[in-house]
Amino acid sequence: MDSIQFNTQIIALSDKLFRLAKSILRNSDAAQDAVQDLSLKLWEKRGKLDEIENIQAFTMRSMRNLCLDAIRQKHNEDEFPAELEFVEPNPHQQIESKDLVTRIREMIDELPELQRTIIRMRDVEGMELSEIAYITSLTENAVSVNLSRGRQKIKDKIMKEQKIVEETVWKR
Amino acid sequence: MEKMSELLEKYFRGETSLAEEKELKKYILSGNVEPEHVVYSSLFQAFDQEKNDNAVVPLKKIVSRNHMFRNNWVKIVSYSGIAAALLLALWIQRPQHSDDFAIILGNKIENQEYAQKYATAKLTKVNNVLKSSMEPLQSLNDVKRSLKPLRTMPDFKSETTE
Repeated sequence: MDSIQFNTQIIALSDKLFRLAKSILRNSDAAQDAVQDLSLKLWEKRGKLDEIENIQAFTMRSMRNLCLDAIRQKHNEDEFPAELEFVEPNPHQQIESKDLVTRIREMIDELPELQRTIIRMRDVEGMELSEIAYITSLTENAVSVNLSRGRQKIKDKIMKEQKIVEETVWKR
Repeated sequence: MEKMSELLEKYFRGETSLAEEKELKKYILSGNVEPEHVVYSSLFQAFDQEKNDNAVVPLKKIVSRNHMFRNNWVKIVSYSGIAAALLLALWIQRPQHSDDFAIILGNKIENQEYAQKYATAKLTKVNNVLKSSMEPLQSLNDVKRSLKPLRTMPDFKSETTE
């Protein structure tokens, strides 16, 4: 793969890669660094990229793996907040301070990594289940199950927040 | 609307196709939805908002050595061309200096008419000065002219002296 092909196929994916990295790492700066790292690594291995059939899926998969490695590494160094340590603020405080769209984005961030990555790849990037299955190294059925669980959790949270809002209105 | 409720159920079960999800999104964000569906508009708005999250610093394009050389060569040629064009434009539009000028009272005068008038006035003044200076000489000429007949009578002069 020469520089022109690299620019058209890999650099063009930088926004998608950034969104994926941000979803996994839940940090814009770390996501930006991860995208830069991946870009360098792919450039070093550009000779082998010609053999890959679906370059977008391959790059997204590499991005996810790189981010998961970074989480594991940071977790070992005890610098990065682990999945289970993500602290949810009080629902009443959340509703009062933010609009529902922002809250939903946070709700997605509160999901386990696999579910939030799958939801974003499907609902934000509009990817096929087969592509998501390749990126996450899962079967299509497993992707579908995780997608369903993630969406259902978001739905439950939205309903819960709506109920709190209605109760608050009635009390007033 | 019943169809949309079914589609929403299917969506939350993760069973919708991309086309169905597109249709659902279009309906939810249209603003013309059943009251029980309004709550999901924020969900699809959140997805739309996330799609606009772009890399803060976009990745720099990779440029190979060959391309760098070619790009540099193109840049050098372009800049040289621009510089040459600028020089040419400056040379064409340079201020036109005239060699036909006079210095009057320390000032450079390029107005030919003004210079001529000034020179004529000065020459007239000089002429007048000369004229007035020559007037005493005119009297001397008169004396000289009066003495001239006496010079033509040398014999008479010598006879009288003898």
